[in-house]
Amino acid sequence: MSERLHLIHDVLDKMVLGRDKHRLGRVDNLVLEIRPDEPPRVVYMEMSGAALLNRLGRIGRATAQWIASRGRDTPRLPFRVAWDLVREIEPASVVVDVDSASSRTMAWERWLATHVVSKLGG
Amino acid sequence: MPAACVARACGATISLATACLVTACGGPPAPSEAAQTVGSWGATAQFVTERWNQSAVSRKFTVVTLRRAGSELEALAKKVAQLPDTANGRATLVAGLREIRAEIAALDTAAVHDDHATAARIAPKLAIAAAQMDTLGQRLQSQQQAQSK
Amino acid sequence: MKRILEVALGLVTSIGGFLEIGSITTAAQGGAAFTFQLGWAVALGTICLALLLEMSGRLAAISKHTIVDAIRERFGFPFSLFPSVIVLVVSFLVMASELGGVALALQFVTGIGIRWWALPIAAVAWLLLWKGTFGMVEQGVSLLGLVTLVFLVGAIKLHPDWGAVAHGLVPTMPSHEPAHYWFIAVSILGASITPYLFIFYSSGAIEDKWDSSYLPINRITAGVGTLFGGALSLMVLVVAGSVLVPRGIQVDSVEQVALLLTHVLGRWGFILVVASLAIGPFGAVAEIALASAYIAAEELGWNWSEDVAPRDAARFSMFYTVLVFLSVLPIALGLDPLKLTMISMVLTAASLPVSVVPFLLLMNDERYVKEHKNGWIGNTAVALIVLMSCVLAVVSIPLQFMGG
Repeated sequence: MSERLHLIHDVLDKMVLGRDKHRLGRVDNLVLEIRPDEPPRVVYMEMSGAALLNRLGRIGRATAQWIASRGRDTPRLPFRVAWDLVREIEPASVVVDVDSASSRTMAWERWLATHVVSKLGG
Repeated sequence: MPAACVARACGATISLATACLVTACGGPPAPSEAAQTVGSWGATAQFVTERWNQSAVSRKFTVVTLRRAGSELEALAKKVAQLPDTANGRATLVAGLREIRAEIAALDTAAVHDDHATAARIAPKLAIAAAQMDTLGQRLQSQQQAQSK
Repeated sequence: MKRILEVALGLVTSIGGFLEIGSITTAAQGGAAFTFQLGWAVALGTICLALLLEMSGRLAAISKHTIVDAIRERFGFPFSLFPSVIVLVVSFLVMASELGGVALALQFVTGIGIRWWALPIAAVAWLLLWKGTFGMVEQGVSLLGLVTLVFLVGAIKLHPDWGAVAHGLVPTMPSHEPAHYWFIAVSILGASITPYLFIFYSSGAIEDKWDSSYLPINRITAGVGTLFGGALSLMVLVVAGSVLVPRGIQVDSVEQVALLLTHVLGRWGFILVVASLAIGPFGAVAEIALASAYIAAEELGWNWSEDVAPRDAARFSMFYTVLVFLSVLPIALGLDPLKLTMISMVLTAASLPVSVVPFLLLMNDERYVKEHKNGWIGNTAVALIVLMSCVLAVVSIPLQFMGG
């Protein structure tokens, strides 16, 4: 019998680790694909502030849309990790086959490290 | 959902608490409370002077404390002035407050000039005035409690 | 041998790091206003904190989650955001009041006003966090904080009526000013049971890579260490009751606290109390900044650790950097440190259920703590004390300010 996975309990809000076991972020949202004549399936995990805001009701969603569309013709999509990149679901984390050093979800981290923290002797 | 109820209840509690704290009285205090506060600051000023004369505290600290006492009593005097003329003990309170503020101002000058002799002369008078204010405060409080029963 | 040293260090850290501006001033106010009658509030707050610290260490050791991490995972983001934000806001006020406490101590020594000291103190605290490790922040300042043992020495030398002190450990109705009595009781509870303490403790257990073999150390450090620290807080109340009540002095400012041991210990009494007013709160500033950064990082999934270089946890490091320097503002703008302390302690008490209730639920969830779940005594004690703190806060605040 195959093992069961409870998406809300075992995946949503869990810490995500890259292939080097460094923190990438948290599973802020799950995206399922609805297919005609087939059961829904998980396609992405979303990791971003926009994904979090979307879980905070009407005001959160409106704020997320406003931020995403600022200075753009098409709204910027939240960072997504394809479900088939998931390698392990551990008790405390989800490990994905993504390089944390170059991942878009770490862009702010890299920018702060390079432009601010290093200049302060950190 | 219970969690949401707890969260909302706590949010309301914290809002109420913050509102009460932020709007915490600009109005005059009760005469009993004011008298005890005046006595407390007078006693503080006497205590720090006594300790300074015995070299237990520095002159800088003594000046800081005396100035603090002076500014607290100045603020209190403005609030006491708002008390109605018929308030129980008001006249004695105002007179005591004036006397203690004057003594503290004199102590402050003495401390600034490192004049231990003057400070030693003023401190006992201040102790008596402070004790009188404390007694007044306790008497007014007892009267208040008796009236409310 | 290593474990014995860890226990010893943990105990010393608990004792030396216990007293800070909130616990010192609220205990002193309680002693000055009601002699030994509020000893029970100190005892109750200490017991509750000891239980919560032990639980947070146990959660971290068994589940490998910090409190914030586990709350986010177990209850989801929309719920976990609320306690995180509340704790961050209240902790910020506490941090500002601690910074004010250090500034006052420096003013007492130099005569220079507290507004001038706020920024330099924040800069030194930031430097400790930026360049130091978790061990330095937690243990280094706490070792210096052993200077607060002066209150124990002073209390013994004052020869108080120890029978009356013991009697004060049993809750009684106040003989006068009931509104003021309950207000101070609430602020003592808030000063003892500050959420940043057990959040910091659980994050520290993860930093130190605790596992189930650390459970006995955890029990000793959190339980015994906290009880000793709480006893020091009780000694502050005893000293204030013994020294200030006969003189008719209330504690309306920190200057009055600095005078507490000058009669019985002379110049050294002044020096060591002022040192206590500087060191304890300084450690608290660093710990609260770090705890706040832990909350944000764990809530949002950032890299975090005090034991790595700041560039390896850039968002985490910048968060505490911004916070430390923001905390300068209330003091620089002239807010009175003692009033800020009282406000933050009471708000802490009022907000306790928000952080403690989800934590208690986790401590009864086998998925996190396995066979190490809470017993009914721990659950009941914590739930009752926290509920009482919140109810008292709601009732006493309006009474205090509306002249009840």
